[in-house]
Amino acid sequence: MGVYRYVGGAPAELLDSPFKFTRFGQTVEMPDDLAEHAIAHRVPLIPVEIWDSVSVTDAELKRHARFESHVQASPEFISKRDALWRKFVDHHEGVLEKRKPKVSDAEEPTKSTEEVG
Amino acid sequence: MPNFNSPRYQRWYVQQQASLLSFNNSSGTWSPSGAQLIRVDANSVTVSRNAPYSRFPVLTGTRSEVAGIRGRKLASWSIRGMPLIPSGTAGTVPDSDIILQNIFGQASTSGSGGPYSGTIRTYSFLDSGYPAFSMFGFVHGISTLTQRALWACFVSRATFNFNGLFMTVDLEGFAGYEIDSTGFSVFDSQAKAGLTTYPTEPSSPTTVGAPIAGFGNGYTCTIDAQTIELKMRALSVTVETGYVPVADVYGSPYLVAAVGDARRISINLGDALDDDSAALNDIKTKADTDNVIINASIVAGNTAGSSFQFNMNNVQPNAFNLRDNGPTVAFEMPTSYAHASAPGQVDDFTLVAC
Repeated sequence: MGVYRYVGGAPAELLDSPFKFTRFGQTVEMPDDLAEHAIAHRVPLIPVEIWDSVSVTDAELKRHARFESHVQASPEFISKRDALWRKFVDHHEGVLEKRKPKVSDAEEPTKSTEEVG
Repeated sequence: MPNFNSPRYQRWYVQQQASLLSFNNSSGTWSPSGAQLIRVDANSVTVSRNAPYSRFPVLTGTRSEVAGIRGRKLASWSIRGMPLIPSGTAGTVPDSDIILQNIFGQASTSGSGGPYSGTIRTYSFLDSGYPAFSMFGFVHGISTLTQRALWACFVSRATFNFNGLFMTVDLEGFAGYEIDSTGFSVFDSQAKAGLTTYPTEPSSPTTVGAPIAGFGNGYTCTIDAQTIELKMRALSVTVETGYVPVADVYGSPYLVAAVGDARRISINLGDALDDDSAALNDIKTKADTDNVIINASIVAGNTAGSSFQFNMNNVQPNAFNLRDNGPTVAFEMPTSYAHASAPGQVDDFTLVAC
């Protein structure tokens, strides 16, 4: 299990599971493999350590947990949110890289026209 | 009593294919990695297999024909009014990314800019890209009902619709063929496209982002540098991708390739409130003038991460019409095409997730 924070600017959901992400900064504890699956599908979750590296204050979080409130947020908060988004993009790419099949256990090459003919 | 099917049970997934003529698979078993659930309305997905019998009208001494034989096989599909849902997080692509990649021929690129001066993803054309995708229609939770799967899907036409209840896109295209779970064992190997077992629905599918309205504060429509969003009632952008199936070769009854003919992008101003403003007069004058080109930009959405920007370049404004429309007069400028800026360029249209 790991602790993650949700940094999306709109809701996201893992269907057929209890995990729904409806608030900016939402804390969620979930199995790491499921979190990785979600992150690979662009659900903007980041490990709590990454979240902590951007100093979103409790007051900001209270004020801007609702996505709709971001429209009128202060430039300071928007700057922090955008920084978290960039960190998520990097984290997402890292997860995709990690999940790439290794050469040894790669899928069999898909069949060519001639082979299926 | 049998289980009756319902559109409400369906879940539709798209997955980019690694190879044109095969579902992604490992030793015949579908590889679901990268399959993405898309949010579509009930009754919006239509799939039609085109596998007609060839008549065999030889003379038999009677007016009744004897049975023919099966001819070539192809499939077509459409999705009407699919909500175009941003990811909600600037710098990441929407759930419909695989479809958008097919329309443009390549993945989006990361950059910065757009209406919020933030991280953006820009879709732009690539002539040599043919990123085919598969579509899977799973009946959630009732595996005995017929499941459907299409391979080598291409978008022929995408129409982005503005000012409806939701921002939507109508899609239509072709596919190599559609197979189904009920008759899976009787399909030939080409139809099964590499599979030896029928796919099962992926676990824990995800959705990101919330649908956006088709209208709203902060939504903009700028044509020839004139802002006219407060006049627009009916507005759409259509991309005819130019993809053409090659499905008539000697050695196969199925699609063997897709090639690219000319693509065309058009903006259709179906109904703008007619008035005597300088903005509309500018557009009218441009439409009246021969061989004029203008640019157009439309932003749908009003929040960073939850918006799309449509940029059309070198639009030749079509001749306009004025039409009585109840208590107003409608300004119509139908089907004006965008163009490349110079021979060899592919900059007629970009779509920005911003």
